[in-house]
Amino acid sequence: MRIAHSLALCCAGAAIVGVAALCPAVAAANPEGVLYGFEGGADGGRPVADLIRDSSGTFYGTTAGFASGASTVFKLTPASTGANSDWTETIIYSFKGGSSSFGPIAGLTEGPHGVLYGTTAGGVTANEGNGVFNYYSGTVFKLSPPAAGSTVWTTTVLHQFFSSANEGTAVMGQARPMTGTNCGTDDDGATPAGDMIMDENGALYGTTQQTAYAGGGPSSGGTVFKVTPPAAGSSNWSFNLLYCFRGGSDGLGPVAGLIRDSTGALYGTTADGGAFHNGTVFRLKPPPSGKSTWTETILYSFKGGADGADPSGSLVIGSGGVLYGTTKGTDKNPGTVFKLTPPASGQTDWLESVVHVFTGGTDGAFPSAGLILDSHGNLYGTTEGGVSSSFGTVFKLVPSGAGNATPHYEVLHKFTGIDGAFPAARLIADPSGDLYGTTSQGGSLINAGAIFKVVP
Amino acid sequence: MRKSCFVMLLPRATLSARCHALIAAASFGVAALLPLSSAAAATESVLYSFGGGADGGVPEAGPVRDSSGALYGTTLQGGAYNHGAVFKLTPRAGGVGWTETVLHSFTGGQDGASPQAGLIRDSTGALYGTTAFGGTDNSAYFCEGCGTVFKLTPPAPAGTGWILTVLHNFPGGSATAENCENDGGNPSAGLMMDKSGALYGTTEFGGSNTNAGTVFKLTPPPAGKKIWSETVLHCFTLAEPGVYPVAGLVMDAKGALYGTTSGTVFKLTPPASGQTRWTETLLYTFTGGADGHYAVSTLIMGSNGALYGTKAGGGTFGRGMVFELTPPVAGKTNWTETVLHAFEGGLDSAFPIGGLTMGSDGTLYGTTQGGVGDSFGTAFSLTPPAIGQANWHYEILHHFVGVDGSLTLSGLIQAPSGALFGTTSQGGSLTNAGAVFELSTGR
Repeated sequence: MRIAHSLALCCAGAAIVGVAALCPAVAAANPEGVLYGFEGGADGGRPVADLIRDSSGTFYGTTAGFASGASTVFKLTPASTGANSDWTETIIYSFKGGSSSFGPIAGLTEGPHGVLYGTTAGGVTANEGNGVFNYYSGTVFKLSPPAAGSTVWTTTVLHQFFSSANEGTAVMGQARPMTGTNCGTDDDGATPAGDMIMDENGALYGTTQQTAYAGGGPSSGGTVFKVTPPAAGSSNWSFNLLYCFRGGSDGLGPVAGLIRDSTGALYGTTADGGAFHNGTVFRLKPPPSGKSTWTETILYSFKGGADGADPSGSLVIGSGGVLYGTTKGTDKNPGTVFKLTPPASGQTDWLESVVHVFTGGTDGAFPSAGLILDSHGNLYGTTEGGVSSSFGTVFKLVPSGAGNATPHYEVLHKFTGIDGAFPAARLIADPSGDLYGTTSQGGSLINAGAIFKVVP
Repeated sequence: MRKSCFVMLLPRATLSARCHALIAAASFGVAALLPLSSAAAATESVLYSFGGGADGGVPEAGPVRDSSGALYGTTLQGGAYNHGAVFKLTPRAGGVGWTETVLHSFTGGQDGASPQAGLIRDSTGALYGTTAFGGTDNSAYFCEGCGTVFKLTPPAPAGTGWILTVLHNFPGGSATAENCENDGGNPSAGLMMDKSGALYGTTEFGGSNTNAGTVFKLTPPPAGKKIWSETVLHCFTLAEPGVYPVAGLVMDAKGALYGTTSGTVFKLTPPASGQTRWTETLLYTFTGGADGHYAVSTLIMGSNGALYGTKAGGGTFGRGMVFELTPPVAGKTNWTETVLHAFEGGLDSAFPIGGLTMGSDGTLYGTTQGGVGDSFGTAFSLTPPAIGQANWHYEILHHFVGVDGSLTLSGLIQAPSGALFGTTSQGGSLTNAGAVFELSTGR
């Protein structure tokens, strides 16, 4: 009776994701919905990171995992029908860390030939008896597609982070020794939380949320690192720290990935630290020829008031070199979208302006991920929501410009729980402009997270 | 539901996808309007969804109901000072909708803060409850603002406000039981009242020098006096297999109290004539593993003297269970534990925290909290075995989907009509601040 009711609704045009295959015409007419709801078992659970998409329309992502839900790298392949219910999830790799949060909390980076790169955040094992805990600081890994005739991806650990506070062995494969800058300590970082980016030579750049500055405690600072492919004739990737945050006015605790401009400069955010301890936007300039030290400049320190606090997402570069980002905010000021405009000629200060203030509740609160920008200059993002707030939203923001004096903010979707809850990742658009993302919870009655699609 | 999906004769992968599709989200935005759960045997309606502001938010306890059908409860957060509130839901004339009234907003000061437990109601309509924090700040003790027992007296004359009286501040009473150095602190559970009007409850901490929790009694003031007097009936020590009681008590016809700790079910027998000391007996000690070492709910007692409760963890799947403890047979002293249902996680949900209620036909009703990978929570029933049968019949009455409720931490109550009422700590609306709901089972 109930299913018949659903079918009637479906075929009348209300589009039920779950039974869309039974009435494909309707599904095609209203393709928003859940592409995959994690079951919280071997298929993974709690996806908190960004998706990437290859040219064939396949998505690749990670699940952080939880007690019974595996930590995984997965791919989601569309069906020829195009129906939302017919996507196929395949596990590329399942991390062996077990239930102790060893999984990835960052997304993947695609290299040449379909090779995927990513990080695991590390974690602490359960008490293994006698009060013994093992700590892991995370890894940088490489996954090479299966050879012809095989279905098994080849896994390689390119780097195992080492923190004297988190001494342990690699979760996956063998550790590689650290080379290069050591910031005055044996520590080289812990808890990589943001996506890595790849330069034209195949080198990867990323951040770790914790450690590495010799002057601080076990969770001081955080780092910016580079992993460089083997030189000709070698098989060893090299690992270098480009910058170690001191945890003061220079920033503390980057949780997002980096972006890179045409000069090779890196831009990122730290969630904490800065002049007002409410986070920063920083730039790292490559060393001049013959030098080895990267130069950090704080472009903006958040004051924690109307200008925002706790920037937790990556940046995006708009026309004229402006940077757009989000601050996750506080209970009182639940987040902003901000713009940083490069210094005018003869000036040195970047100018921060708030493009949108989140008011909380179902209008959106706590944007923890970065934004994406379309070719018209429109921004798209997610708010994570929370208790006494919402299940999260997907929004569109048209910054002010020619033809619109004030920014235009629009909620494209309000999550309801079962169709997804608490999106913590950046969106990705397909060539037609449809938006895709992950929610860390919801997605089905099982509540283990989802991959969703929103049509702006 | 999971089983009904698996009876379809399709390959495993397809099965999973199909099964998943059937229980997966409806298209965006209409999820709450659709009867998504074909297994659900009851219809849920949200009577009130909290805004999380002055009206309260995040109710962690179940409601209590008066004879007119009004519901009373507490919220952990929200209220005028965001330290929690006591609310009333009154059915509107004509039977359409409910009106919410905040009876008291906790200030976080002398009147308490963060009520986690539900209310009880006496014959005059007064409400009694606990706050886990707040009250007189007595930093000389292990806790500062260690919670209160409060009474809310209905307006007199009608139209004025309800009056809150703090009956006891923890710590502050006289700890008269042996082995207790301190008064209790941080009551997490609600109260029970005996025929004389005395109140009984537990504190999670305080009592012995190991601060492992207490059972206390509050005796009403004698005629002409105002001060309620507190007695600590039992204080737990870390030498016991179960400590830190977070659940309330149930009393049998002889005045004995039954309660639970993290690992035990205990009985407190009143002092014999001429004595002052209550005697603790451990009825059952959970062994760990399959029957787990996790929080146990407030118990209910069946007409046969059996005790019923839920465990938030443990069980065959490590996802909690419903258990029955039957009294010793003649000539024996051992109570017998039977697991009536072990939760599987996933669609079967997990972590029943809120305890049980028993219908007039002996059916048990309860809720699960759920969580990531373990659903948004459920309401379930367990029907006693038919004559000659051994197995209880377990049925999921409702699968919450988020917007209609999520993460239920409390049990249900049943009205004479058979309708069930409860709260969810989150969900209930897009605001996600919790709700009061009604379940109509059609029974």
